[in-house]
Amino acid sequence: MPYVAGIKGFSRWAFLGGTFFLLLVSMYMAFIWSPPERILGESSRILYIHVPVAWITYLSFTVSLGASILYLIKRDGRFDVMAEVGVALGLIYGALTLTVGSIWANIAWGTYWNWDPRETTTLILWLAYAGYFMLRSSIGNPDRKASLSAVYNILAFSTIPLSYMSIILWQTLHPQIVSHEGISLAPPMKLTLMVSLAAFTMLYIYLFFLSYRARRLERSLKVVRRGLG
Amino acid sequence: MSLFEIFLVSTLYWGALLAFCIWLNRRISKLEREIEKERAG
Repeated sequence: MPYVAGIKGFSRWAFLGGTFFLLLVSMYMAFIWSPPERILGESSRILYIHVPVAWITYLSFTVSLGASILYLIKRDGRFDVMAEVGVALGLIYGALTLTVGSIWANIAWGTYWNWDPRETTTLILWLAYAGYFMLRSSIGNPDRKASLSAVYNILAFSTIPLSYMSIILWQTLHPQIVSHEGISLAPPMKLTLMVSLAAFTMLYIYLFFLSYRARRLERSLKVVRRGLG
Repeated sequence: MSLFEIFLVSTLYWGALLAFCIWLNRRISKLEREIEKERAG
């Protein structure tokens, strides 16, 4: 049976079924129900992937930040695993954000990469978090590894507001769809985006718990082997 | 970019994530079996 941490029986299937249903609904809305945008036409539909993926990137790194702070306060290894998983998933989603963003940039601006402030700061963000795993792999002592990487993670988080604010701070071609005034889209597009955001978030929660469980089991196996060896 | 191309990109995206979920589930089962085996002797 597919694993969902802390959820058993019917609730587990309800969660998985709900996620799958929401994904299907979001795809139907994105490709059939929602009208194409006036200027970009059909290619504007890539919005329903790009924005949720970028949102999950920020969310995952924020979850990781919370876990790192909790690790430094409580010194509980479970928070270190959560931080590690948060960064790993953030990097996967970050790579998807950059890839999908480049495809869209080519459609809208005529080039895959043009060192736009949003593109550049997101790349800096991604590289800063890639450094997290380089740091982890360079330290042998598990406690020291967990503490130093938690501190590094907190410092790396400064790239998130930098990336988010880049379109406000500097002149950019990147549109500001989500701002403090809300989502600046036509009502059907806005609704489709909201459903996509919900679907992507549910899938992220599922992936997070799966990855967390796998990582904890890997560590347990190491401990068991060391104990028997 | 046509609607078909966007649909293709999105299907590839969902396919990759689905494959990742399946791989993680299989990995969890394998790790659980290995831990049980190690504990059993």
